[in-house]
Amino acid sequence: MQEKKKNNTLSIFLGKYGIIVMLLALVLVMTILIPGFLSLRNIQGIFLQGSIYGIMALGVTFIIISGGIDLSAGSLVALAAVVSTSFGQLDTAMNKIFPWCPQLPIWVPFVVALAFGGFLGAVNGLMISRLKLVPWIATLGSYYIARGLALVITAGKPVAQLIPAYNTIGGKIGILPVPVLFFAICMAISWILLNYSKFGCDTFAIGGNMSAARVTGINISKTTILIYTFAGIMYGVAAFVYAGRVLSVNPGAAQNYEMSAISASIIGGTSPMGGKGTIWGVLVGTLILSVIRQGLTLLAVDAYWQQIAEGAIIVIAVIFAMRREKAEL
Amino acid sequence: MEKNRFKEIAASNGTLVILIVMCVLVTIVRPAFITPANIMSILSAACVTGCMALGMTFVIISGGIDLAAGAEVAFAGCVGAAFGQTAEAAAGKVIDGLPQLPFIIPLVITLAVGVLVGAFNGFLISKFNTPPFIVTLGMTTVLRGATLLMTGGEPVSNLTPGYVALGSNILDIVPVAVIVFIILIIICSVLIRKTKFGKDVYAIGSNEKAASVSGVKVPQRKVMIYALAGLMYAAAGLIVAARATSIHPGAAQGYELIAIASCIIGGASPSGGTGTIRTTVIGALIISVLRNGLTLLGIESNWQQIAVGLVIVFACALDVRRNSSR
Repeated sequence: MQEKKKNNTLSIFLGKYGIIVMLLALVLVMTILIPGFLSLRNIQGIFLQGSIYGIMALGVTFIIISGGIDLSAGSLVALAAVVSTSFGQLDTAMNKIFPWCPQLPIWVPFVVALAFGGFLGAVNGLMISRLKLVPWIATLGSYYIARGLALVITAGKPVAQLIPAYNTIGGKIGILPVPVLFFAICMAISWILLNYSKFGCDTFAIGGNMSAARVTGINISKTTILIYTFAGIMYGVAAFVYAGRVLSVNPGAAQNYEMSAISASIIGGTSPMGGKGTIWGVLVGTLILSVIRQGLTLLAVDAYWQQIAEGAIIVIAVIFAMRREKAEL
Repeated sequence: MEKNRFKEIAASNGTLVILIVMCVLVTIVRPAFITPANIMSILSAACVTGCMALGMTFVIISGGIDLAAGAEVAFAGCVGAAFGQTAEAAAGKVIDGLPQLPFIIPLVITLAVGVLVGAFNGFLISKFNTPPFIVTLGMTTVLRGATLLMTGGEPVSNLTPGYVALGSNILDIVPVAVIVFIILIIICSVLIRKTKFGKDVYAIGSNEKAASVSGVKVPQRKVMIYALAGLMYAAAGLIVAARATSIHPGAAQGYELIAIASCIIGGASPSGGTGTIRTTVIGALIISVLRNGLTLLGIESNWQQIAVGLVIVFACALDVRRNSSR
């Protein structure tokens, strides 16, 4: 009995701080295996790699906390990236998606990415709250529709020859990569929203117990739409940053990124059943994924093995999350 | 009175009515639709995703979901095909030096791999009580990676005459695959309607706790459900390999959506507890007719992808309305 109780305290401790221990252990192992793993350039690389799905994971976390799921995240990023960069092509570009569109300043595609991303998220939210669709079905539908639209708009060709300002978005200020700056700003905004706003409070309430939330007078339908819209805006930011990094957006872009975003969120302690999750957990989850990826690449592990590892990570993360859930009951 | 009866028939056979209306509409616009050759091509196109949908029906009725279905088709298909290459396939041989084996060996291996992978999914879901869509999403990546690793990213080709026979037509018109599909439909119908297993599947989907209390061994049943689904995906994998006498590690990408859509259009509820094999088959035919019709009308495949996505959303929305009006 005593033994069991001790075990429980240990698992609760590990549940709370286990992911930081795991991150440190991973970094330690990689540093031993790979000389120069902690070089400035490599650390920049780790943060840079994590920034895009990290931004997505912020939005996904709000959704999972509310008891939902978004399988369409990667497709929405691709569609938002394709549409927004269409407003950011050079005047002299060969394959202009909108031939009538003059060369515009960088803030136009930025605003388009956020607005369009938000709109796509709102459509998901509407399907779930008004049509009362199960979240995974609604977002599986939009996963296909959005990818199809991206292919139709671009006729399957990449959107390339972007205005030079995109180079800055994918570049660095001093030692700080700009995508990481975007990630940090999005994190700060998400942290404030989740912890210090009625919106955040309602998000937790819906995920914790939907009928209780309804009784206490929370407008569930409105909050659900807002949650998916917020996630969509995050996908829009991710799309904008993605375009800055690759400078030529393929309609097949960001394939499977929803997996990385969901993994990062759940590794970071977001409960797959809803009601629990933190923003700093998303940061740690994102870094764990990035360290593993970067490490495996530097160790020259076959790309196919990396793919297997990534799938296994999400399965293991969910299993641990469910055990944590049980231990806390 | 008459009107009411008509309404009743239409309501209980709604999906069948939709299928017939669709066929009539397409025939009016494109008379070539109703030729025997085109009808066979619709049936033939429905085979692979149809077999998958049969397995998916059990999973969805039990309140689960399997997003790894497409990846399982490719994995089981490729592992089996590795044992079904001709001796001459020296260059692209997955297992070097393997002699040409009788068709029964790749057949059994494909099906066994499907069952094992499905059972493993079921184990992960029931043992750890994890949400099925996340686990099977993770398994999709694992299985695709494993398939690519095994084949080196190249298709497994030069398959033995057994595969060729499975991919051929009887009397030059009826594809063998369609016959296989029909046999599987009958097996699945019997399983779900006449056996204790079938009753348990509905019980788990309607109310898992109640089923468990009334003596259904839920974890064991779930493993069986996903294993049976895996068997159906493996059958689909065999058909994919047989048609082209070659199977690509990226085969059946996105087919899980069409399989899920077939079940949902047929009236299986995404929240579990309802669904039948008959309506799933009608759902599969509706999608096949839709795609065939769109192709005949000259609409490109990207739009078809969008159309299927829209159909799944509408079918689910209808299901929700049906449930709330009850």
